[in-house]
Order: sequence, then structure tokens, then C-alpha cells
Amino acid sequence: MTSILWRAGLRFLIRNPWQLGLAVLGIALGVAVVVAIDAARTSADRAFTLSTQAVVGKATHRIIGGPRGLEESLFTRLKISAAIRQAAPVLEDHVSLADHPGETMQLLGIDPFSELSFRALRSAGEDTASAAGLVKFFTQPASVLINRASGTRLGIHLGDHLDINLGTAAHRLRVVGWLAEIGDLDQGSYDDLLVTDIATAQELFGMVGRLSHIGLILAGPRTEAVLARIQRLLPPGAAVISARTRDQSVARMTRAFQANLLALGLLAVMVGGFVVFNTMRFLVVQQRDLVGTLRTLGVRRGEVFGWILAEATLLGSAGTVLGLALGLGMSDALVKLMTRTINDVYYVLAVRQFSLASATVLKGIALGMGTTLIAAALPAYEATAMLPRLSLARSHLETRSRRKVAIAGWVGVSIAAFGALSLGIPSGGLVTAFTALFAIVFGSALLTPVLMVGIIHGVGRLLSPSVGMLLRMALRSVTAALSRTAVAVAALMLAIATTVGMGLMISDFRLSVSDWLANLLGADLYVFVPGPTSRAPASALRPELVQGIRSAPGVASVSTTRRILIEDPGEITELVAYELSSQSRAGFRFQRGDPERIWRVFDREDVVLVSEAYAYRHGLSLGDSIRLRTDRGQRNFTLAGVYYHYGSDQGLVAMSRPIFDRYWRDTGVSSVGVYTAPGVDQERLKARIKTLSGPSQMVAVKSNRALFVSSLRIFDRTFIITEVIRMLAGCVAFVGVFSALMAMQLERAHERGVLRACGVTPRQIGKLIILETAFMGLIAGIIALPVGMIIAVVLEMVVIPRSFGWVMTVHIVPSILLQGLLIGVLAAAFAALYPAWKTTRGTVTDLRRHE
Amino acid sequence: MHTAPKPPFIELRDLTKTYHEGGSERVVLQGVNATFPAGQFLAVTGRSGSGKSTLLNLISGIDLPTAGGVRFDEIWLHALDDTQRTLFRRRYIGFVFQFYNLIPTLTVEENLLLPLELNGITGHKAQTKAMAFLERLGLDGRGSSFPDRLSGGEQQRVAIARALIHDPAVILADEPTGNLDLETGRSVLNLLQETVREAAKTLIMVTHSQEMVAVADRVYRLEQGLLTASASAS
Repeated sequence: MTSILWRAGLRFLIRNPWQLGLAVLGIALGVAVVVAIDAARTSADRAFTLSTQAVVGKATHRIIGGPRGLEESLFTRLKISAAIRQAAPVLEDHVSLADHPGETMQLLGIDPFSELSFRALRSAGEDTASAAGLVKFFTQPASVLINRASGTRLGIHLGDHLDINLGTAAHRLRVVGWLAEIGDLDQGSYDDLLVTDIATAQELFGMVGRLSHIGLILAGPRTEAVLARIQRLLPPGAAVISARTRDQSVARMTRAFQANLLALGLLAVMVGGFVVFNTMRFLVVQQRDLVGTLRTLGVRRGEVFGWILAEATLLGSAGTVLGLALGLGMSDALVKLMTRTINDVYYVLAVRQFSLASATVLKGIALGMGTTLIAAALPAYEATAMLPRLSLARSHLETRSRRKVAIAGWVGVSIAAFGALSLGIPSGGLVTAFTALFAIVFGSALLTPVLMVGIIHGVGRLLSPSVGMLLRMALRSVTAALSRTAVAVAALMLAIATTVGMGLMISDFRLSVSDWLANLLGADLYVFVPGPTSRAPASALRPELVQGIRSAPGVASVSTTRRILIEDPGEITELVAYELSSQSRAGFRFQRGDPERIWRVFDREDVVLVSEAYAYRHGLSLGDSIRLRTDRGQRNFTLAGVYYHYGSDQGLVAMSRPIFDRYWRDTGVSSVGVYTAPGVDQERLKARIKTLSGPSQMVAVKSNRALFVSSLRIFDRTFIITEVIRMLAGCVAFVGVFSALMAMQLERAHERGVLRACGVTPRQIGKLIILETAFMGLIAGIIALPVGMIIAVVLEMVVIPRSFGWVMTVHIVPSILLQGLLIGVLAAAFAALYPAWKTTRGTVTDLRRHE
Repeated sequence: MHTAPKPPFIELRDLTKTYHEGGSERVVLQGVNATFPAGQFLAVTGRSGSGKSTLLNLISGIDLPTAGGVRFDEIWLHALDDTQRTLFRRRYIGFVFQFYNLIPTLTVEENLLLPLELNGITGHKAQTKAMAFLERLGLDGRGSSFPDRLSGGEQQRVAIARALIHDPAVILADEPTGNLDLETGRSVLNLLQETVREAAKTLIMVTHSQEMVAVADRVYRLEQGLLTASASAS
């Protein structure tokens, strides 16, 4: 390619700075969304791996118990009777820091002497100080080690006090030394870790004589034999599992969340890709005259193709670099949102380190460069494949566009039909659901131009002859310039449909959760121990407090829950034991099972209820048997009913308290629902319960209204990330459509000049431009509404059930539809402002010269 | 080394071009047969829409005939593939359009350098040649201007310079004065005619100008899809 050709292309871009800037921005936003989501996911994964590493250390296996952990004596028996040398007792839980709201740390109680093979913990610093720190650690109660990075972040110095909230009480610890980073663990493993002596941990957790788990290092040919020996020593309810089980369980927990996040990201990318395609196509289409002239002068097809691709590479590179920078900037905020969702919905996690994998950068580059080059290659091929004479004829371009619009319509119908049919595949999983969704959305986008032509013809026929020429021109110019308008309107439609679809889905989800909460929260007051996060396992209320509430004046009846987690290889099951008053039972809504029969057997037989999500995940039917690890060993329970519960996408198993007490030695109560007698002042009762809990108790007493509001707030929080992605998709599309519509108007300056010369006033021209683009926006909006509703239906009736097991009812929310229409019209009209301003300010000569 | 090719003998044999418009067919050229001797100035006249531009498009190879062909000495254009046709055009043909078709993003000088560069002539030699052409066409001092800053006459002079600068054997001119006033048109035509005659090129010009018809070596008239030799002026 000659240097002069290069110059011609570059100058074209430089002469259209708006288009150049917006094209680069469009590509950048698409790349940024992918990079930000990917970097946030990588950071969360890495944070989890680090926190697991810190707890598990070099252990190959762990012995776990029931909700109350293991008897400490088991450790002694292992050491003495089974001669297991490499075993280490551990007590762990999450604590919140009193002086640092929102900060959660993992408190790890260890036996320093058993730990040597597992974690090689040591105190860092100057030799003397280090040694002194370790001495204090061994000798002084309530002393902890923390890593220096966390200390610096929290402003903690050696010797400082650290106040923590743990379960029902506040405690004060003293930082006596820094934890050193050990070479065999990854950097950052000790972030958010507090290490204390196991005796201190037992006192803090109120678990004297008990352990969370025992770590084991088993290797070599005799592992199986040793495992068998250990199994014989285990009490009922205890199990030995692989140390990696927790990773796998957690990976399973968040798989659907991650998949949905990825899919939503991909939807944003699809919108972004369409926009990049639109931008690049527009750039090429605008240069067709140039292409034609160059071909006439003897520039080869391949040279022109190479020149367009070089231009695309330039734009793609600029957009990708900017997108990577933007994405990394955004990922910090996204990491915070994602961490909060994980904490709200799944498990306790603190992400301190930002992890940027090279794969993330590569994905960003592949998307930015790949989409841009593909987007440019198609129109470039189209422009160069035809005879030079045809490149010079705009009429030929528009004729071809009209033909292609019709073909695209048929292809769109076929792709959308394929998507719709795929939804009916009974064994189809999440991937099939998303493929079908993408096919429907993409097919609709292809169908948009032909629908647009149909709408405009229809409107044109309906218009009475008295309607002004300007309005007719505005209408006709949309179909007359299909080479420019078709993809732009399709891209805008796609963006609006995505926004409407996701908006309807979130709204329906919220409505379902709100209905469910309103039914569920029948009690007047709720008493519980707030965990460090909403998903951290709740500690038990003190038995005296529960008893005090039961007998408090004004209390008509109570319901209680006990929530425990049962860890098994590859799965963590959430079990809730209910002691239900008759009012509470009324709050349960069953998807399957006869309520009358269920409540008849609930307290008496070994039956369980499961949430809709749990039933879906495990493919359960009524009457099936569910095997649970109890304190009396593995036991089977019969499934009596499936009920609606939106509290956990992992699902949960529920049983009656009497049955729970039969199989678990756990007398704790996680929360109490209080039904007050008629006429009782709830505020006074609340104050009385607070008094009963005592000053050292961290007990929350909330009215059902307050709990309803705070639960919905958590729900809204978990959807912020979806909203952000929705917004980003909207932004990407807006930038692209803005760019295309504005460029389209700017390139018609000559036509405006002719109109001005014919006596059309600048004001009328301004109106014409805005009318034309607003009309395109309106058409995009009108087509987007049914497509958005289809997206919502597919999300709610296929994707969400297949991801989480929840089935929801689709409601049409007029405000969301109206919002979609407005976005279309306003985005388009906004794009017309600058060209309208520019056109009305230029002289007729200026405008005609623009030719 | 770049040497000017010898003007070829051009033959049009059964040249037919049909356009499909909507459901109907429009025959623009129906079996045109003609031979154009080398190094002559040939004028093609005819009413608007008679197919004159189509004829030039087919001769230059920027469009393909529905039937028949164009032969340059021993080369049948339609037998070449697109790349070969392009390279042939690059080397042998200079095109002057009615609407100039200058590259708007290149300066006047760069517009002239482009055909040279495409033919492998670069650097000082190319620049000297471009400057010489600009001077000869009365455009010295406008080399760094962009086309949209030039008058119609100036733009057409640049277009003529661009068509001639790489020494093509055949110049095709499609109503080069159709967009210019009488006086400017006359000077442009004279310039084109003189330059072509001086270099002994073949010039095929579609024109309505009686002045040009008067000085052409041969005059053809295109009517109802057929080309007939109507007069020989000089």
C-alpha cells in the first residue's frame, strides 16, 4: 500500500474527529466491559483461593464434624491411638472489626506446635521484636498475629488493641506480632487473617473443648490404610474429606452466578460488537466514493481491502488500549460490587488484591481487535468485491442495501426461530438457554431493518396529503439511506431491547421476592445475631435470651429457626430447623405438595421440605429420599414438599425442630420470630428484649417492616452488578448509535445546503434533522419493546430456572417499556443536536462546499 | 525504468451492456463494433442517457460488458481477472471524470503523486514531475491546497493532470467540461487536446462540445445503443 493511500485514509479519519472519537470510544467501552468483569471475577476467585490456602495450609485432608464441630479429644485420639503425626486442630470463623465497619476478617485458632508442618507460621520483624512477639503469642491470652499489610491498612501497630464482634459478643484482642509471608504460600494468603492460639479461639467462640476441623497431611502408599484407621476413630456425624473439597463446593455454589455474569457480559459484548460493526461499516460506506475513484485509478482490490483493514487496526488498537485502561479502572468498582454480592448471597469473602490475569488482557485485545477487524472486513470486502463503477454509484449501494435488508430479515427470522425452538429442548442446560437467547436477540436485530421499512411505508400511506413536505422527507430519508440507517437502527433496537428485557426481569424478580417476604415475615418482631455479613453463618442466641423472649409479657407466640451448614465432599448444604407457630406456617407457599398433609407429618416424621432451587439442583420429586450427615451419622429423610424461597440460590433443606433435635446435638437458636399479643406496644417489647440480651450481646431486634426493607435492600444490592452491566451495554450502544446517526447527518450537509438554497429556513432544517433521527429512535424503540419482553420471558422462564431453579411470572411494567421508548427517541434526537446546530450555522455556500 | 507505453489499437466487438432496473431490462449498448486507431483524438457524441459513459466505463474496464468485449492490441479486457484489469488500467489508462473525482483527503500535489506512486515512481523524480505538471496547468502555488478549496476549472485541470501524469497510452474523458462555464471549459479542452496530441496519446472523449468535435480526428455518435462514425474532422 502506498504512503499516499495511507495519508488519504488517515486524513479521512482526522477530518471526522467526532466519528473517529466515538468509534474509538465505542470499541473501548466494549473492551472495558469484558476486561472489568473478567478482572473482577479473577480477583474474587483469587481471593477465595488465598483465604482457603490460609486455612487449609498444606493439609491434604480435613476431618469435619457437625454444626458444633468436633470434640477436641478426637485430636488426642488421632495422635495417640492412630499415631497420626501430621494432624493440626483448627478453629475458625469470621469476625467483624468493631472500629472498622464493613471489615471482616477470618479468625484462625491454631496449635502452634502442631502447625509447623501445615503453615510454618512465624512472626516477622526485627529479631528481638519478633521473638518477643512470639513469646507473647504463646503466653498471653487474647493475643493475635496479623500480617503487616493488613495492619498498615487498618492503622494497627504492634501492641494495639483490636476490638472484634463475634457472634453475640464483643471481644478485645491485642496484636502482639506480625505474621510473616511464607515462601510456600502465595502472596496475600494472610490478608484478612487473624491468628490466635486455639485456646483463645475456643474461649472467643464459646467452643471450649471443641474444634472446627482437624487438618491432616496424608501422603504416600499407605494413605488409604491410614484413612481407614482414621475412619474407625470418627464419631457419628464426623467425616474425613479432601482438603480441596471446599474449593469445589464453593466453585459449585457460584457457578450459576458466574455463568450469568459472564452471559450478561457477553450480552453487553454482543451489543458492543454490533455497535463496533455499525461504526466500522459506516466508515467504510462513507468512503465508497473514495474506494471507487481509487479503483478507477488502478488501485487493486487487495490494496483497498488492506488499507481499510489497516484503518480498522488503527482504530481497534486505539479503542483496545483505551478499553483496557478503562476496564482496569472500572474493575475496582466491579470487584467491590461482586464481593458484596458474594457476601450477600454465597459466602464471606474479602478481596484485597486486584488480580489481573494475562488471559483477561488477551480477551480484551481479542474482543477489541477481533470485533473491529471482522466488522471492517465484511463491508470492506463488499466495497472492494464490486466493480469500480458500482462503487461510485450511490444508487447501486442503496438498491443493494434494500435487497440485503430483505435477505437479512429472512435470515433473522430463521435464526430467531432456531433460538425459539432450542428453548424447547427438554435436556437443554444453561448454555442452550443462553445460545437460544442470543439467537433470538441477534435474529431480531437482523429483522429490524425490514420491519423499519414496513413501518415507514405504513406510516407514509396513512399520512394525509396535507402533511408537510418536511415530515415526508424525514420519513423517506430513513428508507432512502438504508446503507446508513439499517444497522444503526438495529444496534439501537438491540440496546433498548436489552435494557427493557433486563429491566423487566429485575422488576419481576423484585416483585416475586417482595411477595415472598411479605408472606414469610408474618411475625411482628425478629430477634437474631447479626453475622459479619448477611450470608455468614449466624451464631446462636443465648438459651436464656430465647427463654426470656418466650416468657416475656406481651409475647403471644414465637417461631424459631436454627440455620446450620453441612459440609460434604463437593457440596455444602444449608439446613434450617423450624419451630413454627400456626401463623408462621401460613407464610409458607408450596410449589409442590399438599400443605395440609405436609404440616400433619412435619413435626412427627423424618421428613424434610426443600426450597424450589434445591429441588431443581438435585432433580428431586416428592417422596424422594434425601441423605444428610447428622450427628448420629448419615440419615435419610423423605421429601414432603417443595416451597418457594428466594433467600438462597443454592437452595435449602428445612425440617421441624423436634426432628432436628432428634439427630443433631445442637440446641442453638439462630433467630426468633415474635408474635405479639393484641394491643402490645412493639417498641416497648423491643426495648425489653434488648435489655434481656444484655450489654455484651450483639443482638438485633427488628420489626417485620424493617426486616422486609433491609432484605429488599440486600436484594437490590445483589442486582446492582446486573444494573451496572445493563447500563454499560446501554452506554456502549448509545455511543455507537450516537456516532452513526451524527455522522449520517453530517455527511448530508450538501443536501441541506440545497434545501437552504431553495429557501428552507435554518430552523426548519434543524427540525428536519431532529425529526429524522428521533423517528429512527422511535422505530427502534417500538421494535425493541416486544423483543425486550421476549428477552424477559426467556430470562425469567428459562435462564433463571435453569440457573437457580426459580420460576417467575412475567409482568409487563409500563414504566419500563416507556423508559425504553424514551431512551430510543432521546438518544437519537440527542445525536442530531450537533449536526442540526452545525447545519443551521453554516452558510449555504459552506454547506454545498461540503460535497 | 518507467517508459510511456505505445498507444494501442482498440477494438470494440459486439459490445453489449444491459441494465436490470426493477423488473425490466434496459439495453444501453447493443452489439457495438468499432476500431479506434492508436494515437488519435476520438470524440463520442450522443444524447444524454445514450450510453456514452457506459461505453467509457467498459473501455476502461471499470465495468464489464453483458456480451462482447474490448481489445487493446492483443489483450481482451474481459479475459483478464480483476487484478489484471486493475493493473492494466493503472498502467495504460488515464481517466478524466465530469465531476473531477479528486481524492478530497489528499492535497492537489498528492492527488498527482498517487498515480505515480501506484506505478512505482516515487521520491524526488515524482515530485519534480508533479511540480512540472502543476506549473504547466497553471496551478503552481496550489499544490498544498485541498481540492475543496479549488474552483471547478482548477479541479478539472488537476483531474487532467492526474490522468496524464503517469504517461498512460489512453486517456478517457467523460464530458470533462460538462460542469464548467464556457470560457473555462474551452481552456480545459484545449489543454487536454494539446497535451494529448503533444504526447501522441489516444484520447477518447465523450463530449457535447462542437469545438471539440471540430478538432477531433474521428467523431462517433452513439444512438439507440449503436455507435456510428459520423464524421472525420481533421
